[in-house]
Amino acid sequence: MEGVLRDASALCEDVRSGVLRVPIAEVDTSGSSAALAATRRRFNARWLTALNTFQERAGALPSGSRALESEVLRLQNEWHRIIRQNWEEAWKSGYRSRGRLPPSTSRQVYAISPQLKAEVERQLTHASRFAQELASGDLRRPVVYVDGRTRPRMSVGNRSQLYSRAINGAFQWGAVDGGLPGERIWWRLGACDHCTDCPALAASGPYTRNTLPTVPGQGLTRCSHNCCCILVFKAGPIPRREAPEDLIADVLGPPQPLPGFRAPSERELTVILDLEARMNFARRKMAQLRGTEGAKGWMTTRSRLNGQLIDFMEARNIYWTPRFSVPEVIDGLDITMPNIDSMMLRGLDGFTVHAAEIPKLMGEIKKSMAELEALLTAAGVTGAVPHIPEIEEILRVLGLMPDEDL
Amino acid sequence: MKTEMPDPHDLWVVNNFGMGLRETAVAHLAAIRVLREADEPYGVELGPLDDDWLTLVASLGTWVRGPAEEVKRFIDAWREEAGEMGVAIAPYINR
Repeated sequence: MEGVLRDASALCEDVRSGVLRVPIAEVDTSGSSAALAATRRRFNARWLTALNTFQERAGALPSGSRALESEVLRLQNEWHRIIRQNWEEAWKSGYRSRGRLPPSTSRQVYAISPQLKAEVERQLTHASRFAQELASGDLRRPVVYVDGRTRPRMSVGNRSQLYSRAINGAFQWGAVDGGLPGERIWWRLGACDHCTDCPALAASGPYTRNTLPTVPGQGLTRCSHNCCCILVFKAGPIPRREAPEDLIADVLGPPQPLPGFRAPSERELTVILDLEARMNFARRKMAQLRGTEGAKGWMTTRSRLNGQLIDFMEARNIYWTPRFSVPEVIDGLDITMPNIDSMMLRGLDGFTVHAAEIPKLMGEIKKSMAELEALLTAAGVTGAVPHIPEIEEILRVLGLMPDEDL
Repeated sequence: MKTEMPDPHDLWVVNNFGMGLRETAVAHLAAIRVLREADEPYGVELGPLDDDWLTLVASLGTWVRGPAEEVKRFIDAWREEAGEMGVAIAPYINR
């Protein structure tokens, strides 16, 4: 018994001191409630103190007055501070539950976990609205539906409790972020009544940390912050490749060549991206026509394009890694779910495009197309017929024939 | 289900590249045209369409997300509009 206790103490000390840097491979998040008990107590105390202070100060102030606005602002700022501190603390607690020492600064935490950052921002928005509704008296009025039905609003106490429960989401993300690349994540149903989303999520696993759509208690399932499900982690083969955390930032940022190489110029990049797009297209055609003569034709095309791309870069000492070289099926090792969400946030839905007049958007798009057309012409990139641009022709237009001075 | 969370059963995410940079960008515009001129609006999301759309589409292609039936209906119309060299779809599998 003593030996076991000694080993356990040594393990705890290793975790505390940061010697143990390898995540605990098989673990789950069933201990989140116990781990968050102290955080929740602190959160509740500070949240309610801020609320009481606001009610004492704002109680007698006339509606719409500047003094009341100032008190609302004070409450919002205090709640924001409490949310940031406690969400970070819970995330670190989840991270620590995997046997790893979490980073210390907020900047480092958010760099590791963009999901936590997005979640904190979502909670800050809710808290701001809560404070405004509290001051305006909206919370005393019932919710009125379009068909005239009404329902009473959630009480201030219950609504505050939701924030306390939502801390669990931060813990869960911490446990996910503290794991190993490539590990498999199962969504397991907890011992309580389930909404319709959780069984679907449980049945659709396992996930990787790149494909996990949400975590229990984050509030994105029908059971919202009352979710009692847990995540179970099991080590999987470490992937040979892993999607960049922020592929969009990589694409929009300047290329970073390795020492001894150079980044492509704008015109060279146009040629490279054109060849990459053609290769992606060819790969998908190969899959579509699998087993036919057509597939062989596209295989030859893809192979030729690849050769051209390699020759083009080697001859110019260009360093360039394809950002998104993808086959006929894309998965979480190519691009993460948050990156796809971000792509959609940068877009529009069909109903909006259909119904709205969007002259500004169309103007911007036409302008960008004209710029692209000019670049393509300058780079000598021809249309899709013939399928492969004659590389020598492109180089001639660019003034980049191998024997020319670069 | 709330709209923020992808439905693992019904929601499709697809990516498109055309045969080259010009074809990819033109297909992206064709997608907007299909959405605008639909008799019945498509219940899909299309991105990116912000200021950086061209840089993103050049590297990452066009992205469409929505319920499976709506995405299928949209792709059929899109193929017709963008032509054979404009549309080569790859699905995103959540794994």
